[in-house]
Amino acid sequence: MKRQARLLATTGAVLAVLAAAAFGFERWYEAGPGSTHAYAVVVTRDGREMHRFSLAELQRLHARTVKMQGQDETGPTLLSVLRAAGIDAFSAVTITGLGVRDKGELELERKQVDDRVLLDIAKRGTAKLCGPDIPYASRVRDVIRLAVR
Amino acid sequence: MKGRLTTRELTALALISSLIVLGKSLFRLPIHVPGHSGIFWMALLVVGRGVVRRPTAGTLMGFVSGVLALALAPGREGALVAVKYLAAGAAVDAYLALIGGRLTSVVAAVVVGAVSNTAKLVTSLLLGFALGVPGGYIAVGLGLATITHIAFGGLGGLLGSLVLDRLAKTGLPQFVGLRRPAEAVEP
Repeated sequence: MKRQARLLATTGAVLAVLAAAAFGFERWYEAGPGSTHAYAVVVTRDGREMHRFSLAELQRLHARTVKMQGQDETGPTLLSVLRAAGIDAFSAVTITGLGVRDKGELELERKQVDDRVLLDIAKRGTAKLCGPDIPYASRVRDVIRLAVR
Repeated sequence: MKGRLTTRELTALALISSLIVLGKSLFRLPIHVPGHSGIFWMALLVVGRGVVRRPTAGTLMGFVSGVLALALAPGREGALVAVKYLAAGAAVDAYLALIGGRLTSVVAAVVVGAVSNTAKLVTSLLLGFALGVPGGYIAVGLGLATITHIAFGGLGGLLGSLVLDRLAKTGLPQFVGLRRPAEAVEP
């Protein structure tokens, strides 16, 4: 029993060290090698880069909260992000994500984009495209590019 | 306990494996916290491993639930999604083999849940690297994700332990072995 108690205590300590190491890795990556590859959302128009939004920049934009699929999502509207990138008129926008947890791409016509389509800032620190008329399965998580035509 | 798994054990493992996959889909809490599904998932793994006291029961549950998840909701990870389930189940078996104990102790169940949910997170990270996801994106929110995986895994373990305790108190013959040493009645 004593051996088991020691092992359980050791495991608790190992898990605590692991959590501290994860925080350390995150900070180190952001400050060091990751500083040039930090999370960003790039807005392009016909292939030309218009603006590269850092997470902090996205968080500084006016955020809206919209209820969709039974839960509140909060973040800047897609229109306000495009406006901040200097885009007022467009016919369609293709939203691209990392594609790890979903299909990673969604194309919306101009008429499908209203003030309820958001770039929700998720707790993990990446943006997620969502809207009340966008089915749950079609949401794009970890958005990295907004390509406007 | 040696020998082949009995039909009752196999049925229990298959049932719990199905509940793991269904629970992960149905009990999606709108709290936007990574790893929160571990509270259901790890509870079921602990209950399954407690009810079927075989050294490979966790791995079997992980394998079956991984195959079911692959069939029902493969996502972008495709076949690799099964690896996450398998890793969580195998972690339960490996850890119990290491501590040489059973899930009759609440502390052991909590730690097993935390270890298993963390194993799932580590596997997800390794799969992310394997799929070519940039390190910067993996690093975002990693500290918080690790904490929440440990916490929710531990809570799941606690929940599983409470369920095992209730099962033991039913007095049904198949659950008698679940009693904690202090509560066990001499024959």
